Amino acid sequence: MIEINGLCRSYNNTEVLKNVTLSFEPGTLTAVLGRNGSGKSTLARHINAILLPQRGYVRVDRLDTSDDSLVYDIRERVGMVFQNPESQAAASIVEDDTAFAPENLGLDTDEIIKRVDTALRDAGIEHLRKKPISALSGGQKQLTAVAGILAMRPGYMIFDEGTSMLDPESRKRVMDCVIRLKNELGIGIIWITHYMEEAIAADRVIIIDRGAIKADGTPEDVFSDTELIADSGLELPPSARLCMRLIKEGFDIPLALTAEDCAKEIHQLAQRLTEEKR
Amino acid sequence: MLRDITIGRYVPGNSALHRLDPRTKLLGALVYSAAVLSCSSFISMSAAGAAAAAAALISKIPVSYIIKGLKPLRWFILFTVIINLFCIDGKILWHLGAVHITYEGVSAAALLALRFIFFVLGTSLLTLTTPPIALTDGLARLLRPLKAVKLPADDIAMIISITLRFIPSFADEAERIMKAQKARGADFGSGSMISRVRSIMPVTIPLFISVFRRADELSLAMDARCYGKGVRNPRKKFFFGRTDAYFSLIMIIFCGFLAIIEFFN
Repeated sequence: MIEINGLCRSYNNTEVLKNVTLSFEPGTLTAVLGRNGSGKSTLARHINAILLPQRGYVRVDRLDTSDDSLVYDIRERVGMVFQNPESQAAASIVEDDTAFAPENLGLDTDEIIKRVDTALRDAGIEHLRKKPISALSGGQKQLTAVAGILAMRPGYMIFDEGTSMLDPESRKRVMDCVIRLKNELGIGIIWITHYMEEAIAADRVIIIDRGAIKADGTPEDVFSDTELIADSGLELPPSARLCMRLIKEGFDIPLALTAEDCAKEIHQLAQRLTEEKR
Repeated sequence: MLRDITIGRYVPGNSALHRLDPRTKLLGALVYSAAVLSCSSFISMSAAGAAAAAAALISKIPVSYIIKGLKPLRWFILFTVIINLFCIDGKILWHLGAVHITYEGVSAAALLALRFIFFVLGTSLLTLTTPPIALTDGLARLLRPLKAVKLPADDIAMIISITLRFIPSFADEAERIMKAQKARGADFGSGSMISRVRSIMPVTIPLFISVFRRADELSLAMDARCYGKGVRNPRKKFFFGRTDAYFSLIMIIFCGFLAIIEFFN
């Protein structure tokens, strides 16, 4: 479990994180939303012990990130995938890059080979293992970064806008992989994103605005507060926006977050209206 | 043109050169570079050229691809050739007023051009046939004895390997920036030499910003993957095999041959 308590951070007298208290469970997908500069990435870097708390604490499986001697144990438990797929590879061949983290951990050769095989299979890129990373698509590069983290066998993975530089098809491929990792391996995922349609797939949605937690709940609960969404500089998912528009026009329709639910609700609405007309 | 830079690029393959222990290749490249730089006759330079050609053929990398790496250096080579051609005194071969070309000038210019070409080909073959991570681990092993004098051997090896790996990436980046500026009317291909140099200046600022950003992102990604925890254990075990022994023997014979030629020259 990741516990964050009273976390504060400021840069040049500007508070970036204000008394943040949160916890994350393994096996859950949590989407973290917020406008640019809201403090999402700063929060993520505290969890991975890249940044240390100025006040408050961050504990990963009871290991305090402020303890220097535990930094590598924490990074082994919490992997982090960054935004730019071009800048994360330390090696030039997929399997070499996947082996980078276990090599750094000083594991023995058999264990490294075993972990590389498993990580490539779990990330769904076993067929790319001998390929040069420069020849891959953006989505494949990002899945290579995922495999590189999986080789550490982490309990949690943070995606810091991990799909923001990808095309829609690659985004879907990475998202599908992440959901599979959560369901099959029980990895706790912290998914920082600007895409509302990705947040819908999460078990939990957190909104950060100006360094403070503004909302924390299920996607249905969080997105039903349209005023809060607008105040936080965010937009509802496209399906929810359509539902809101219909509600404003006077139609009796619940807020549907996914395209499938939205289509179902509109179909039922159309049936009701047809019956009323008769 | 920048895309033609081959130094730092790795071409996957399974040739004898690819299979060599990275330490053997690193030492081989070092010895070859020293040999090429000390060649002072056409006979020894021809031997160095033959060795580079043989290595290129063994690597099974298309020769045209390897030679392409020389393209970005052509103006530099031409410039040094011209300087040598006109500035070395000796037996006059041709003259026009105060300008003259000597036999010694032609010989020195040709040797210098060949020295550059073979040096670049030799070092390119090292990176073309060795994955950067193997280069890092090989270099770290070679530098390990220096740890006794508190030299951070692993970090130095990683820095050298990342530098080599990022040369082509930054060449690609510079190419992208130049294309973006061309699309907005920048002209890099015409005008006087001074105006061409001036037109390159606006490329350097975004390139440097990009370099620093990439370096920052890569270091974060490496930190996140526990780089610096302790002594790395490379997945691929280094093994000085029969091919390495043959290669070392060939290098010793090659160096001995060059030394004899240079001695009698």
